[in-house]
Amino acid sequence: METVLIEASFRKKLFTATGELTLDVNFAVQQGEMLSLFGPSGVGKTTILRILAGLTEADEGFLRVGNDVWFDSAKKINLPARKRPVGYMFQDYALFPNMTVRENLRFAQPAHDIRHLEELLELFDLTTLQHRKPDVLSGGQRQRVALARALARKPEILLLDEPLSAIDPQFRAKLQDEILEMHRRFGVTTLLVSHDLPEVFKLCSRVLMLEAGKIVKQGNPYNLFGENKISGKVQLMAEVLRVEKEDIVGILTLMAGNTLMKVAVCDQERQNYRVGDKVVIISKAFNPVIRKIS
Amino acid sequence: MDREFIETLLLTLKLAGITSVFLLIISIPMAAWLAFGKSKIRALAETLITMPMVLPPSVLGYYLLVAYSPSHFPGSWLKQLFDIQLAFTFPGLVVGSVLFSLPFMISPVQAGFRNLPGSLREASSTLGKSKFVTLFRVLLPNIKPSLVTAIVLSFAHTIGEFGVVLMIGGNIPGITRVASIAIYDEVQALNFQQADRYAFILFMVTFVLLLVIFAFNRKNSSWKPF
Amino acid sequence: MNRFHGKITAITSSGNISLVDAEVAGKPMSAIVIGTPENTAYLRAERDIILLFKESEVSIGKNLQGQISLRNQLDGVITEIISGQIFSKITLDIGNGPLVALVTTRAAQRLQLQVGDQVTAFIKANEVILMDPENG
Repeated sequence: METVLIEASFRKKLFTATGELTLDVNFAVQQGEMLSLFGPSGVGKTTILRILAGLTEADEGFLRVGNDVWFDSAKKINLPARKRPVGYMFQDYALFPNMTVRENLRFAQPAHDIRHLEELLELFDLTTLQHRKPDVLSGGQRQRVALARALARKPEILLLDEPLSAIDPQFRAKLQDEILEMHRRFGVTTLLVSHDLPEVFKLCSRVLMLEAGKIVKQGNPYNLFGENKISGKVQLMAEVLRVEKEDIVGILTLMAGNTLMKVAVCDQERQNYRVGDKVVIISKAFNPVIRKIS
Repeated sequence: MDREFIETLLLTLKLAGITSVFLLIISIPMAAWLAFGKSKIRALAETLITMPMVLPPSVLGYYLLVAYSPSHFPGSWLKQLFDIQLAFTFPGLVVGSVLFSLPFMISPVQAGFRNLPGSLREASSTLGKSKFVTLFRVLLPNIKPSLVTAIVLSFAHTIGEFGVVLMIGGNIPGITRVASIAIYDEVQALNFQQADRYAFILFMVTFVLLLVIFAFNRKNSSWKPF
Repeated sequence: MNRFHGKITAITSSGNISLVDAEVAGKPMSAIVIGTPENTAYLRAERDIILLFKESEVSIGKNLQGQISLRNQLDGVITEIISGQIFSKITLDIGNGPLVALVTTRAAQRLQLQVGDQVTAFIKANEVILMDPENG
């Protein structure tokens, strides 16, 4: 039986680059779930995480986690950020430059717990880097430190703000695997902000799709994005990199994961696609020709 | 003669040292409040703190002298309650120097805080740390260059102050007579050789202190976005 | 992509593969898919379905005699021909909306295709994708 961990319903007026926007959301998160907040930038995804963490205060509404009320505008309850057991991973990672990797993790622990510290260092492959300062680490290494640090205080909720947006595409797959492994191992309820569809498919069991401050759809990513409603058995999430016209057909250059591919479409269909569009490549199971390479 | 020379220099260093220590203690919380606070009176506070930078030192000195006067508040109050007399005394000089050099300590520290990415403070609070722990473990260690600049600037500035000291301290050897006043005094007495020695030492001290700032900050630039 | 609404008439399964018969504007069409009614919600007789197939998977026949293995045969009249160097796009009216075929220009010339010609479009059953209209 699944239990609801987070119950949230709040509103907040936001002033974004594109104008004023009212964030108005209402959702529940199951214990142990990995949930994605998905949508274009500037729709309030990060603000939702910040409100959950207590870094931003909602104008009105309530937030209950387990049996505790963290925020209730009617009763003027607002638990300060430092009293909320969350692990928050910032987009810029916010590692403390004055501390080594190990010190960053140690700082995050409420009480010294060497075993948990060593476990995290090992899980995120940081043992050999533990005495380095963040400024000598690569982007991927910093991402791992940030994730390990967010887990170091054994949070009830893990909040990841576009954890992989600053990572080169070729390293993303590995880091996504690490996030999955972390989630499998610790079972922490995780909310992840993303605007990358393949990432959502890979990591999350449920998606809240946001548009202009509202949740417009929610559900399993496969149902939500129409995947298992179609008989094509070969399906790849991809991004349109280039749209060209050759002869009377259109050629789309697509990036699926870290593989480039080209797909021919009819010319009038070509006009529906723009660079940057997220697409799904569908083929019948009968079509692809397979050749062994090793 | 030489004893008096040394005495004056030591008094100057003592004043600058004590002033800097007081300033550091006062300025860190004030700079943090100015950099991170949400209060609306911050603009007013910032204006008052910055005033000594542009105000003629004699104006500040004059008001301090009036305030120190035992014939009315707050000087009378200090006299009655604690039997403290500030005018023409060393403690009075310290209070005056602290006020006079306040902007030189606060501004660099405040700028250092502001240049840190906000996420560092937020990260510390999501990790369950209090503002106090965040200040000492996360913020201050990451603005060391700003701190060095602030300490050296206010130390050097205190050594160099003249107008305020003259107004509230007078020129009592061994008590309120500091080097900058002594130079003026020696010149008045046409004692150029002695004035020359004071001037040269002040020149060198200031030069070395500023060199320290620039050399240190060249090596440790403040927070860099890796 | 060609897209037609139809209705499933029959499903024959063997293992996890199903041959799905559907009716599109009164004409029979079939699709071979992986999946069976047991594990796929939209594989139900009498259910509305969308059939999808790529223009380049359509072959055109003219004045054909004899037998052919292809199950999906749709008769229509050519309404438009756009020829490029390599490809020609042939649009047919099959009575239930337009069907587009992408064939080589050489083949189009060999068949002397003209607007108004009566032709047959052929699509292999294993090229037809089925989609649940509820999530179309």
